[in-house]
Amino acid sequence: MKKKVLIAVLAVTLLLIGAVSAAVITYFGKVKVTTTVSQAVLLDDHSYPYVIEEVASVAGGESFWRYHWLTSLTTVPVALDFVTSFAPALTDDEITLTYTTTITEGPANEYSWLYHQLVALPISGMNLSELLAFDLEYTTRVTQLPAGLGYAANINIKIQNATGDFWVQAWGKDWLSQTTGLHTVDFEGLVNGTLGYGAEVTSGLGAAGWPSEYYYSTADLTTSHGGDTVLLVEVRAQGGANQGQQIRPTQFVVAGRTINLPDAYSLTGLTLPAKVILKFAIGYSFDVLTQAGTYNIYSTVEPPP
Amino acid sequence: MNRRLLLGLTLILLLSVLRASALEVKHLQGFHVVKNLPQTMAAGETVDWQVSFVNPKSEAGILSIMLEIDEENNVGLGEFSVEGVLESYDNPPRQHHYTLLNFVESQGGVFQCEAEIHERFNLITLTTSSVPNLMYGHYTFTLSIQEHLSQASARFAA
Repeated sequence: MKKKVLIAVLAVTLLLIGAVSAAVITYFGKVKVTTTVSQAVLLDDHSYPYVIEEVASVAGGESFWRYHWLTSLTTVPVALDFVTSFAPALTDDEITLTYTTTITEGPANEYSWLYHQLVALPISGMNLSELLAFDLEYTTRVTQLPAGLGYAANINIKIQNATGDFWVQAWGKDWLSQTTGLHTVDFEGLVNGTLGYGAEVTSGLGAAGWPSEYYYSTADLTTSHGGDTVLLVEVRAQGGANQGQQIRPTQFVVAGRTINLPDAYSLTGLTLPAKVILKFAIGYSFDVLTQAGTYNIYSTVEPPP
Repeated sequence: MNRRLLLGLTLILLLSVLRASALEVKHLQGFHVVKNLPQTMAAGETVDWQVSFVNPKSEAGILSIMLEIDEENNVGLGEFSVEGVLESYDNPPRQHHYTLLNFVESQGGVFQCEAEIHERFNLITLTTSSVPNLMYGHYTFTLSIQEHLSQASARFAA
């Protein structure tokens, strides 16, 4: 009896397996692609692990500034650390580092760029003719403006499209001088159709100590933004050499669209916004008690730990 | 007599099991790339990849998808993330259905998921993103798709 049951069970199992195995068919498809991934952030146009090497022969109490830039090639914010070391090693008491997007290099009583930043704004889908009838404004906070000096602000706009690159130049209607506090600078659009680069001359400044005319050059701009149609805005503020001065725009209104700029940068635990070129200066201030000598300085960007 | 019959059935059963394990594999019909990965991308970017195939008789089955991302220095766990959507429809009626593909990273750069399939036209969209601090280099993306169609089950069910 038991054998019969066993035989029956085996027979049924056999039938089921036979039926299923006869019917299950597997279809298979495979595709392989190799793609080149570039680094998200470049330091001075170099990929990681690029290290900036400086050699400085200094005496105690001396200080100097060096100028670098970070380029974000990616579409997401990137967290990174900017790390600097010295050989021979220096303690925090012996060296003070100041990272700033404010460019303050330059002799006293000559104007310098107090703020300088490139912002790549995607403008896909926007009507270029509307864009040219632009309205820009930004708000700045001015502190510690020294007596006898003032500042002005420039905005240079580079538009990249299929027909080429051209520039729209604008300048502030209101010049500020010897004034602190919040200011909204309103820019009126001016399309001069000038192609290429060149120095633009404007004049008429109120405060003493200003040059009667000033120049700005656009030759240092890059256009490497992955082929996207972008509005590459260069913002500069000019003023007397005063390292305590901070001028930065917080907001643009371009063709009716408000674009908020990121908050002030800190290079400690920096989060670099997407597709932005951040130009910054590092200030090296040696304490008066620091031993005079030649120091090697190494700086690089690293992913946060 | 019964002993011989039992032996015979056992042998046939073993053969059947062996046959079942060696299932027939055919080329996925109509399999082609609709949208390819870009040749270059920056770390941190999100890119789409679309492939399409046909299930000619709209048979019920299981779809197994595996995406392997490889690089000279190996890919770490969590360096990439993959999301997917399976868009299916029959013709007629051309009513599109969307199934979320939940990929699991079984090891660094190896993503797998399964989904049910029962319609004729199928479009898989894979959205791949990487961490911004991904090491630059040449990455190979290999997408393997298996479609297991159990026609017998369908017949039995019918």
